[in-house]
Amino acid sequence: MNKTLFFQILLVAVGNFVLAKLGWMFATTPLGASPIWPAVGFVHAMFFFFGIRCWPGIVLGLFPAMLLNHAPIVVAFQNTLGAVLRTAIPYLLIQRFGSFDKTLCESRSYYYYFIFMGLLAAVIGATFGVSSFWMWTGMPISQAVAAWPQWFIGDLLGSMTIGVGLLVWFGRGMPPRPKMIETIKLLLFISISIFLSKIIFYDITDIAGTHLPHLYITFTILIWAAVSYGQRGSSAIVLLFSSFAIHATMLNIGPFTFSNRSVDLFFLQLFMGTLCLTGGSLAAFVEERNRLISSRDDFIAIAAHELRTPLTALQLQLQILHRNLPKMDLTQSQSFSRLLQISQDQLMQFSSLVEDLLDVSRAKSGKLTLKRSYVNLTDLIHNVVNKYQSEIAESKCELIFNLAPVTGFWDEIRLQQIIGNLIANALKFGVGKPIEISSRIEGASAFITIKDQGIGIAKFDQVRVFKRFERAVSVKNFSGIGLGLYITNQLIAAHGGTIRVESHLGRGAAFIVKLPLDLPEANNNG
Amino acid sequence: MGNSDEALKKGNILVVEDDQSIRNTLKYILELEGFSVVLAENGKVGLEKLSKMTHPCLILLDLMMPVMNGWEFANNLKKNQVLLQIPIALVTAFDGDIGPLKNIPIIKKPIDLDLLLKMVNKYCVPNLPSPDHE
Repeated sequence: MNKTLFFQILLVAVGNFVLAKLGWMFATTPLGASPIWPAVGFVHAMFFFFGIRCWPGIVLGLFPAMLLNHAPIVVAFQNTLGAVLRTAIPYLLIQRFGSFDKTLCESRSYYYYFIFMGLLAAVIGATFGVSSFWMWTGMPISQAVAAWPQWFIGDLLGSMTIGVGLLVWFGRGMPPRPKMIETIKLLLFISISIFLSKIIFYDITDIAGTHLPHLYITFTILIWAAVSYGQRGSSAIVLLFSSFAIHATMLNIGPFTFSNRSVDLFFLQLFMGTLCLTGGSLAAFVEERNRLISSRDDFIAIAAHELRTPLTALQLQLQILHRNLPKMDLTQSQSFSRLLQISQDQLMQFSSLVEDLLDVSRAKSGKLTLKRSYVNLTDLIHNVVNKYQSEIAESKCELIFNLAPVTGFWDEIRLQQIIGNLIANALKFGVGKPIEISSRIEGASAFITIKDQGIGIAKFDQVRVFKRFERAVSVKNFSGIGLGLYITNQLIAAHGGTIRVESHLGRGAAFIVKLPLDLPEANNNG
Repeated sequence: MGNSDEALKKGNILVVEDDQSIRNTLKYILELEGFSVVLAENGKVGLEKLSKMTHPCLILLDLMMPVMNGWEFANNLKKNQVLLQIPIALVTAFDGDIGPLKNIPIIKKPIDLDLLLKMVNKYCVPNLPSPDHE
């Protein structure tokens, strides 16, 4: 075993042991169920940081902790097994969603996390935990069933507070050092939050027989945190309020003190759950919105630059014509006509950029319509390649064809656009090495692969490149509007197909397009 | 072409620009004005061409380019006492902060032809009295 893995497992084990002990401190029932079970969230985050291989840490941490807590061996074993599965199963399932981003910076990822790492994990954890007591300690089934919801919410809260907190605080790069004024704002925010927490959870005198209404104040702070500081702010406030709420309830003061302990805990859990889901969703939306705004700003800058390039050449050519027209003679007419030809090419490039921009809005509003006809793929690929002759010559990439005869029922113009975009990308990033274009039929689909041996795409960027305005490379080094692959992806999706990329940084990229043949005869068979 | 090396020294321009059409158009107009033009599609090729050619009277340099961008190209020139002497003019659409290159004269894209020729004539002397192609 290598050293890194050893320390990762050790960290998971120690964390699990300590957090299990902490969890039992809050526990009030004989089952050991606690209003919040922080170890779940901790293990979730560790899986995302280190991968599934750190699972032995759960066993090494939880099993001895349970034995020390006087649990029978079988109960400890079953609970430990449950603890491994409640993270491993949702973790493996969520990986199947290509669009899940573990930094939870968009609402979609946050909800995926909630459904899998929150709800599903808690169902698994609570079921394993409660049933172990019922099966091995002779607890009556009615009592076990009654304990299930509390266990479930405890696991859910652990995942949604500690898990989300660790992921958003440590799963991203550290924020830049704040400026003076930002620091003052932050300090003000922290002081107000702590001051209000003290009033809400400890000090307020009983006015109408309950403290619950005072809890509404927490939401103003939570919204402030989510809007100003995103997921990090929201998760920190949730943790702060939850800690105070639990502490006060344990001291038997504050809003959650009713006659009955289990009612107290239920309201406490309800409060924490509402708080963390509200804050987490809001923060995810705020971050998503900020990201969209900044990528839109980038897009405007890039679009302006891209549109300016053909305009520059065009304007220059017109200025040359204007300047030299008076002294133009027959010997020069040939080169002037060449100049006009170049100008026309510039205009074409310009209008195709404008067309791209329109395609984006068409795709966005679902107005991409296809004009299908029989298309011979091999002919189409050769036609497209012919259009890129000058780019091919410039890139010094050799093109290798490996084409099987394929005919499909597709939109010819759109398919040209798809192939053209992929070839242009391969030429742009292919660093002069051979590019292989191949096609084959498998089942009722055509597969088109365009493979270069260029700079490649890092794993992290492989999802991103298909989104709008996203580029995996620095603006300083590669021109391009960042729409090519987005449009390609949309056009392929409109055909009912898919595109994926296989790549390693520095070792080239292969874009694989799968298009259903959609031949009208074939459709009748089904 | 029948120019002596002496003449080339005065009217030799290196254009480093990644967009093919802008590059070719610049070559076209500069040749029309009587200069010799060497083209490079990025900074790396620019450095290679520089090592093989008579030192130009001016380098027209784009900033945003693949493989080696304008900033990196200029940085490489600074390391060489001789190349350091060659005047550079930036020809760019880049709108942001150009950082360490801010003391270099700049021609904004879209290019104003008069401004470009004024800049070129400041550093270079045409070596062909009249345009003569092919």
